[in-house]
Amino acid sequence: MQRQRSTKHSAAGADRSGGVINWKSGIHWGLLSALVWALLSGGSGWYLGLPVILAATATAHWLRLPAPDPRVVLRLPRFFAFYLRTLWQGGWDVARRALSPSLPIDPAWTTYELQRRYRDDPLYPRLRLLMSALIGLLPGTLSARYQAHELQVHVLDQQQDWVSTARRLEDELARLLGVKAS
Amino acid sequence: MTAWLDLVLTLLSWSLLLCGAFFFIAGTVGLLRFPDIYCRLHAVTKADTLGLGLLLPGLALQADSPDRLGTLLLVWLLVMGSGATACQMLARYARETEAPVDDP
Repeated sequence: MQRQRSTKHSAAGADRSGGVINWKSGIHWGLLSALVWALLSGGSGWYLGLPVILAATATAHWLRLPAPDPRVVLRLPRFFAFYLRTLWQGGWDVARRALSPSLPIDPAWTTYELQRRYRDDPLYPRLRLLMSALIGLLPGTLSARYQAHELQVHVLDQQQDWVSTARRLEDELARLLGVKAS
Repeated sequence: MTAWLDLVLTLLSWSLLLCGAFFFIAGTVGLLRFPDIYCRLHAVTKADTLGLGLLLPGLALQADSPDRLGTLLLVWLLVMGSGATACQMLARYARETEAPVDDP
């Protein structure tokens, strides 16, 4: 229950005051930050690394991020394979349009409605947040913000079928995070 | 045998580096040619993230020790995460500050 509550708060970013201090997630984020620092710096420069790790942990705590779910790590390879494929398609698509002499773009603002079946899960706000950030790396789409269950999306070419790729990303993200469809 | 392996690795590495450079150049061309900030964000985010994703394994193949691969992969993940977030925030800022006449 505690986990669900903190998830809701972190993703919505609405309530950052008071509440029970979640030491477990603090320790997790601290260890993860230390691991990232150790990998990036080759295990040196801890006089600089320590304040950075503390700042990162404090930020995670302030944002009420729940401890990372170890099961997500097991599901990462599948997601990553899908993600690399769409990243390649997205990069190639935009490169082709940029380099083509006729500049074949037809940009427009539109909306993407998140699927109804994921909305009841407590992890839904997190799905929406990640969806909003990662849709920017799919072919031809870019998100500016979300309101309720809709993402404001800028598309590079209105004729392109971007909705099915976005749906696929949403399904893969739901599977990665463990969001259950109702 | 080792000489062959070296040759294959060098060729693979340079292919990845050249492909990465191609996407960086394409992203920059898009930045110059596309008509507005949103289209330019498309070019910079997608092409550059992919370009870096190709440059880093190319560099890792030329690295002295295999643990560099982990470091480079981590760099890519961090750049990808910050790029996706920054792109969204720039788009949001531009959308909120643009003239209402552009907003149907």
